[in-house]
Amino acid sequence: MKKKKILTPKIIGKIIVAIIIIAAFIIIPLPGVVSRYMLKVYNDGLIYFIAALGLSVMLGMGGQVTYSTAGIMGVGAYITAILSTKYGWNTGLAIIVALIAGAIFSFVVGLALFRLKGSYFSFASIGLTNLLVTIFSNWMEMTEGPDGITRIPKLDVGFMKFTDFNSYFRLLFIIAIICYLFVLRLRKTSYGRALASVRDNEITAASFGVNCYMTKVYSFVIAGVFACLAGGLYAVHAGFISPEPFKYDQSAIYLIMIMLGGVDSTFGAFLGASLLTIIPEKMRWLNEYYKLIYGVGVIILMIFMPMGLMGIIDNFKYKMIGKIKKRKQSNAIETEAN
Amino acid sequence: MERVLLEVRDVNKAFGGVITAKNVDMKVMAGEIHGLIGPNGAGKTTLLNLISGIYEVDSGHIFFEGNEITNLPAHKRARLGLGRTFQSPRFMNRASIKDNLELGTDLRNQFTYIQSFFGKKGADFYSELEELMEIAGFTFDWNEHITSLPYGQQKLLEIVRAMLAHPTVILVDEPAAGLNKQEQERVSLLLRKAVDSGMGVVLIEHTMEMVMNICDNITVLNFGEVIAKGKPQEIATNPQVIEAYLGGENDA
Amino acid sequence: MVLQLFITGISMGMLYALMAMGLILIVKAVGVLNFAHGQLFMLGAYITWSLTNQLKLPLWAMIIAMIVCFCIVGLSFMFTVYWPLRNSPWKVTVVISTLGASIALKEAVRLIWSFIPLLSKPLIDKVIRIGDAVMNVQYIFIIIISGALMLFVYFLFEKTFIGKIMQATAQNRYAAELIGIPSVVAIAGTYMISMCMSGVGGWLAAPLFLVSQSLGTFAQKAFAGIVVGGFGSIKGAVVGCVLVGLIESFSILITDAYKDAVVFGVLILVLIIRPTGIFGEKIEEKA
Repeated sequence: MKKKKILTPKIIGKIIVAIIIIAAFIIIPLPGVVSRYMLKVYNDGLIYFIAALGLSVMLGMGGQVTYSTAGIMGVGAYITAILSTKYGWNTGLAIIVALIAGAIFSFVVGLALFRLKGSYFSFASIGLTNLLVTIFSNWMEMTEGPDGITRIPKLDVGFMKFTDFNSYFRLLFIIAIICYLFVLRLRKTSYGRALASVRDNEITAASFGVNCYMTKVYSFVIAGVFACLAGGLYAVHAGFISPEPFKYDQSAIYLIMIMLGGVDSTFGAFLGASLLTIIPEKMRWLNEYYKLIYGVGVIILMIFMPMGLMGIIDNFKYKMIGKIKKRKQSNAIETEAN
Repeated sequence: MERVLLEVRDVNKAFGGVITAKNVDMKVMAGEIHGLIGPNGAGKTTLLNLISGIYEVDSGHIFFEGNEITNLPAHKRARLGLGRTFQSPRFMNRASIKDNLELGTDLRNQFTYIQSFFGKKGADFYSELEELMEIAGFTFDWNEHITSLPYGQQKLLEIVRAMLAHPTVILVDEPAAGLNKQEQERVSLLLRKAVDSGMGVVLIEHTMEMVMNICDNITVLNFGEVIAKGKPQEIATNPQVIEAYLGGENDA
Repeated sequence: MVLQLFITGISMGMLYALMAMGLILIVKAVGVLNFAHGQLFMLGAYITWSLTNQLKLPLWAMIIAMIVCFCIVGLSFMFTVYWPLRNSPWKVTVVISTLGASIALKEAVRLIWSFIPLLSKPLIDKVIRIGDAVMNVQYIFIIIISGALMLFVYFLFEKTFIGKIMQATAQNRYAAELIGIPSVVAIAGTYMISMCMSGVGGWLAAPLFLVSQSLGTFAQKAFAGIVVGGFGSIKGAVVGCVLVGLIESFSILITDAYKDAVVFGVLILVLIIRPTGIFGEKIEEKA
C-alpha cells in the first residue's frame, strides 16, 4: 500500500471549487456588486438550472428526449400560484404541495407516455406540453388565462421571508447546490447505472435485471419533481406567471441547455443553463438577428461538439492524461535502457 | 449433481412465416456446459432470446429451477439468475469499465434504488474480480473508458461481467467469434470456472474444436428443430448432424 | 352543421397527414425525427405567397417554380441539418440539430417576410352550399390535392423501383451502398419529397389561415396523428391524422377553447388503451 497523500491535486481542486462557490454565494448578492437587473437574471438562471438538472437525468443519463420540462414546470408554478393567491396558502407549503402533486402527476403521465419508445415518446411529450399550455391559457377561473396570475406572494417559510432578489439568490443557490449534489450522487448509484444501460441498449439492460419501463418512468418522475420545484420557485420569485414560459419552445431551450453544456456531465447542465440565460442578455446588440444566429448556432454546436462544452473539456483532459502516460512510459523505457 | 436448472419444453416460435423454433426440448443440468450448435440461421440465438425473455414464445414452456418462467419479462428472469452475453459485446459505451462491471454486481446485490442511493454496500467483489481477471489473462485500469479495450478483451470482460452477477445459468452467445487462439483458450477457462462453481452454461459456438473440447452435452438445431442430442463424441459421428452441416455448406 | 364539420375535419386532417407522411418518410430513411417539419410547412406557405403575390406568376408557372423551390429547400435542409451528423453515434444530436433549424427557420422567415400575417387568396374564391352547410371551396380543394399527392407518393415508394431503392437504403444503408445505391441520392430524394409534401400543405393551408409563423405549430398535430395511427406505418399516420382533424373539428360542438386539449387528451388516452396505435403492430426488437 502506498502512503496516502493528504493534498492530492484532486483534493486541492475540490477545495478551490468550494472556495469559488462560497465566494460567489457571499459576494454576488452583496449590494452594489451586480445590478438588480442582472441579479434577477442570475436568479432566473439558477431556476432554469434546477429544471435542466432534472432533464439531465432523463436526457443525459437515460437518453430520453422529452419536451415536457417546461409544461411540467408550469404545473408546479400554477399549483403554487393558485394555492397561494386563490386559497391564501403559505407559499412554502404551496411549493411542497406542488412538488408532491408534480411527483404523482409525472408518475401517472410517465406510465402512459413510456408505453412509447424513442422518438414516439418525444412526440407524445410534445402533446403533453401542448395539453398543459391549453389548460393554462383557458381555465379562466383558476389560471386567469393568457393574462396570467399576478401578485403571487413572496416566499415565506415561517422563520424566514424572502422579499428581495438578494435573499432569493442565496436561497436559490443553496437549493441548486442540493439538487446538483443529488444528481451527482444519482450517477453513482445502481439507478444511475440502470438508466445508463437503458440508454445504450434496452435489451442488455433487461438481461441485467433492469426494468426498463419503470426505470424510465422513475427518471420522468425525478425530472418532473425538479421541474415542479423550479416552477414553484419561478412563481414566487417573479411574482407573476403566464402560460408563455411553459410552452413547447421553452422546453426545446432546456434540451439545448443540456446539449450545450455537455450531455454526460452534471456540471454541463449548469454551464448550459447559465450560458443560455446570460448570453441573450449580453447579445442584445444583435437585436433581431439574435434568434437566427442562435438557431444556426445550435446546428453548428451539434456538428462540431455533440458532447457539449464538457465533452470538449473531457476530451482535452483525456488527451493530456494520455500524453502524460506516454511520456512516463517512454521515460521508464529510457531509464531501463540506461 | 443431476439437478435440472433450465428446461425448455416443446417451445415454438415463428416470425411471420419463418419458423425459428419447432418443438424444441432442452435440459441444462447444474455444472454442465451445454453446447447449442447448428448451421447459420438454425435458430440458436432465437432460442437464447426465448430463454432470456427477449422474445415471447408462441407456445411451450420454459422452466427455471423447477419454476415456470415462460411468461416472465426478461428483467425478472435475469433477477432470478439467468445471465447472458451477446454476439457482439454490449457495454455502456459512454461509461467507464467500473460502471459497466458494477452493472453486473448490481444484479447480484439486487438492492432497491433507494438503498443504493443511501450508499448500501454490496459484498466486496474486488477479490473475485481479480481471480476472474487472472483467468481472463489481462488487466485494466477500471476508470478507463470501456471503448479503450480491444475487441477480444471486451468479449472476455462481458463474460466476466455476467459471472460477477452470480447467475445460476449463463447463456453465452458465440464468445469465441473473432478471437485469437489464446483468447479462445481464456474463454474456455472462464466457462470451466463458471461450471465448477455450480452454474449451468448454455454455449452457442461455431468453433467446433472448442465445442467438442469443453461441452458436456450438445444439442444440435437445424431450421429451428432439434436434430440431435448427446455427448460430443456421439454428435461428432451422428450422420444427421454431418448431413446438416454439409448440406448447409453446399447451400452456401 | 355536421357535414360542414366533417369536411373541415377531413381537410384539416389531410393537411396534417401531408406533414405526417413526410415525417415518416424521413424517419424511415434516416431514423430520426425532424422537429423542424412545421417550419418547413410554414416556409411552404411563405414561398408560395411570394411566388403568387410578389412575382405574380400564373398558376402553372407558380406550381413549377414552387416545386423547384421546395426541392432546393429540401436539399439544403438535408445537407445542413442532417448530412454533417449522419455518422454521429448518437441520434439525439440530429434531433437537437433539427430543433436548432426550426428556430433558425422561424426567425429567417420573420426577418424576410416580417411578422405581420399575410393574406393569401384561395385558388377559387367561392363558397358552396351543401344542404344548409356553407363552406369554402378551398376545403374540398385541400382534400382532393393532398389526397392525390399522398397517393402519388405512396405508389412511388411502395410500387416503383425508385421507391424500392429508397426503402433499401432506409433498411440498411451499408448494404445498399454495397450493391451500388448511393445513399446520399436516396436520402436527398426523401428529403425533397418530404419538403414538397409539407410545402404543398402550407400552400393549401395559406388561404384558410393567414400566412404567419404560427403555421409552424401545425406539425404538432401531425405528431399527434402519427402516434394515434401507429408507429412508422404510413397508412396509420394518414388515418391517425384524419382522425385528429375530425376530433379537432367536432370538438367545437363541446368546447372551443379546449380544442387542442381534446386532441392531446385523446392522444394520451390512445396511449393508455392501445399503446401501439390503431394500425401499429407489436414489433419485437432485434436482439
